[in-house]
Amino acid sequence: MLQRLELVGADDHSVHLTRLQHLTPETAGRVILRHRIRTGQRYELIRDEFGQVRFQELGRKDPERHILIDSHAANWYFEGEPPVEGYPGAQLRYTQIYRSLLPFGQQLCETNLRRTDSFVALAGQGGGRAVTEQVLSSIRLRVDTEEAALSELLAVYGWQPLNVSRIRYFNPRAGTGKEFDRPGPPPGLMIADGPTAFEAVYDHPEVLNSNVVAVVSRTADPDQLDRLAQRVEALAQWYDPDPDIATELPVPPAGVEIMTLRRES
Amino acid sequence: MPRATAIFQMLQEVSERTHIRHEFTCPELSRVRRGMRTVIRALLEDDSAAEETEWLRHLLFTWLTIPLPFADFDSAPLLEGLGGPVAVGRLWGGDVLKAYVSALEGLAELRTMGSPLRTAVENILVSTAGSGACVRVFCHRKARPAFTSMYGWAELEEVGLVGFLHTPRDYRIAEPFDVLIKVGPLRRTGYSSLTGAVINAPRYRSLQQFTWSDLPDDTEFGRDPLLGVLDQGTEENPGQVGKRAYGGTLLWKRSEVRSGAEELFHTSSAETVDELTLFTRPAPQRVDSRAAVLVQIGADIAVMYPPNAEVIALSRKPSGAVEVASTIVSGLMGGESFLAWPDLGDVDLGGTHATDGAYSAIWKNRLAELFASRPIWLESELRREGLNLRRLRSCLENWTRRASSVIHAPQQQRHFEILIRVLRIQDEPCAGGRTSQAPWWLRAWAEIARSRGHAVQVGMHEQEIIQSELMAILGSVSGFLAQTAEAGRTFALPLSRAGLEGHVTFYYIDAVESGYRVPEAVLRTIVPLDRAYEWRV
Repeated sequence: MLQRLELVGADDHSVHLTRLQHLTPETAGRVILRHRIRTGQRYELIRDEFGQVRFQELGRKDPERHILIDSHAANWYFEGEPPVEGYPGAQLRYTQIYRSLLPFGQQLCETNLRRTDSFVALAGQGGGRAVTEQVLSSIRLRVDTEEAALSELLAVYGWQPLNVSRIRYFNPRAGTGKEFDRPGPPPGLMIADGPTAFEAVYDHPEVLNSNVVAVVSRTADPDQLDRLAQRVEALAQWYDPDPDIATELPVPPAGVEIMTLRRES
Repeated sequence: MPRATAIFQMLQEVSERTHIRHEFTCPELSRVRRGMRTVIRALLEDDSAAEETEWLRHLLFTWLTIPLPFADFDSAPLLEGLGGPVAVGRLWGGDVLKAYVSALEGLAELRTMGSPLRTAVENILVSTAGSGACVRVFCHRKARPAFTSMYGWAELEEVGLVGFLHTPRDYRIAEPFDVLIKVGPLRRTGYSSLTGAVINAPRYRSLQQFTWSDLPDDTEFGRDPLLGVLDQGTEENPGQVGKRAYGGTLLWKRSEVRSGAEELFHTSSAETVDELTLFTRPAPQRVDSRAAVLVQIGADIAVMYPPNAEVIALSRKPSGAVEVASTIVSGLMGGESFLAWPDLGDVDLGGTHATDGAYSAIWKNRLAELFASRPIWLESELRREGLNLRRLRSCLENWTRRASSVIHAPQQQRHFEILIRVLRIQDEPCAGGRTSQAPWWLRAWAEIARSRGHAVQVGMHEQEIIQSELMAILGSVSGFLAQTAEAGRTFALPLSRAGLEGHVTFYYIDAVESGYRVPEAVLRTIVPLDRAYEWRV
């Protein structure tokens, strides 16, 4: 996530535009959007007689229609999802903390904190989304006068007031096809928090080509660890240890060990 | 839950953890162990001695894994269970008799001595906790009195310097501490098992292990469960747990302290298999077993449930009120709830009845005749042949009853065979009976088995009806139940409503523990606690 905060253009803008251009009410059903400035209004995505995307205002006798302008696509966002770009002028939070977490010499691209990004996804523990938020909110970081809970810094949609999101949330307990908190392309990086999360992620079709980081406590339930060990053993047929990635990572603290595997080419 | 910061801080501060294995040799105990091994081996081959075998097995397991004073090594089970030297010699022969006598003599000697292992545990406990270090003991609940009776335990416990860990969960939620004490070998499964996390995820500085001789630790105990499978095939030394090319490796300094004189003709552990391994029931295969939660409902008994099973329990709610409710078993708490255990006999819900089959009509008639005319002769004959049930007379009465949901008959095939033999039925012709070369009693047994299989299917539907009926009855007497529960002891509630007759025992729950894997057949049955401990994982 921190690496994505340094990268210029590490956001959902282009993916969002493509999604708007290709959605049709016939395939996606009724699509409701909101505008990031006119926040009180709701719009329906329709296609005009030429097949062009239009946003038609809802709840008015004589509704306004807006056209999709590529450079302004980020003004529109899907109802129930985070805005692609936050409210203009809104004060950024926790910049000091993010800066302090970045490796020495790396620059924080502040624009990224105003924009949603779906490259990284977090698969929470079996307890569910609310429990995960509760656990993460108990971990607090402070730099000088600025203090934040880890749940806020991770910027999962709904966990912090700015409302843009830098991480998609994957709920292992949700029904098939409903695990991610918002639609999007397959994540580039999936973090699985615990054995239950890893099991759920392991076979998920959207994660087949993603990089996966599984974080497992050795004090987890022995039965879960056994099941996970069996899965990992099966994986070992197609994966080889990757010492290159290992050398790029910082030395972990005492008690934490890292195993990196790369799929055989 | 402990804060991650506290755990990492402790791991960072301690550059090297120590594991000291104190091994004790005691010739008198070795003599007892040898004797017991021979006796148990002989008993294992005798089906009729199953109960005695269990008793002796667990007695030996207890002696080897709990720091009891030798004075508490009770020889009564050996004497009473097997019926004395004459009976032992007659039933199992001269070699077993010799071993039996040797074990008894060894026990008599032991009872005059102090246990060096117990003394050592006591010394470490007093010296470490007494100097302000925080000590935790990993053991099963039954072992607690052996520690709490040690010198100074009560005072140290009062100030929080000593305490117990019983399950992987207990370890997971424990705050970092200084010293972990374990009595017995480090094993992954079975009676002496403990979570491998104590080695691969230490939350303490020093492990003090105390064990009798010839009880080796599992060679790969504490090997990281995940990285371990990926390491297979490499040349990494499995003994160096946690030693990896990359990572925040934890270093262990291991040492062994041996005390006590070895016997003159000592057999080394390399040549023998220890008793904990030799007499352990084979662990159930993964496909035949299920994760389970243990609910301890008395000093020596427990019930195993699937973790998400629903049970009827009497519990105190946050409001303070005591309520009967259907509850997920994992959510129950020891020390404040009661487990409702209905014993309803045959519940007649007007469902499917087994008819008296072709064979059962014959043997039930003969049994009824004899039971009416010569009950004393019948009972003594059955006992002499080996059908030695505690309440044989009421069983006989039950077996004469006509079929309801099942054909009432002995539970064990062996007992049924004895019954038919005593009834002198050899090849009685029966209408509708199958033509077969199999003995008559076996054909009759097949009929019983078929009726029982049918009853199981019907029973699943009936169970739901019974459950809801029962909840309604218990709800109507909730005030009485709450009042009775105040005493904090197991109690029984008689039921006499039409269709549901019998009683419900409300077992006081001592503890609820996860971390077990048991055969399917054991779930929802009352089992001895010692046996349950063998299924720890």
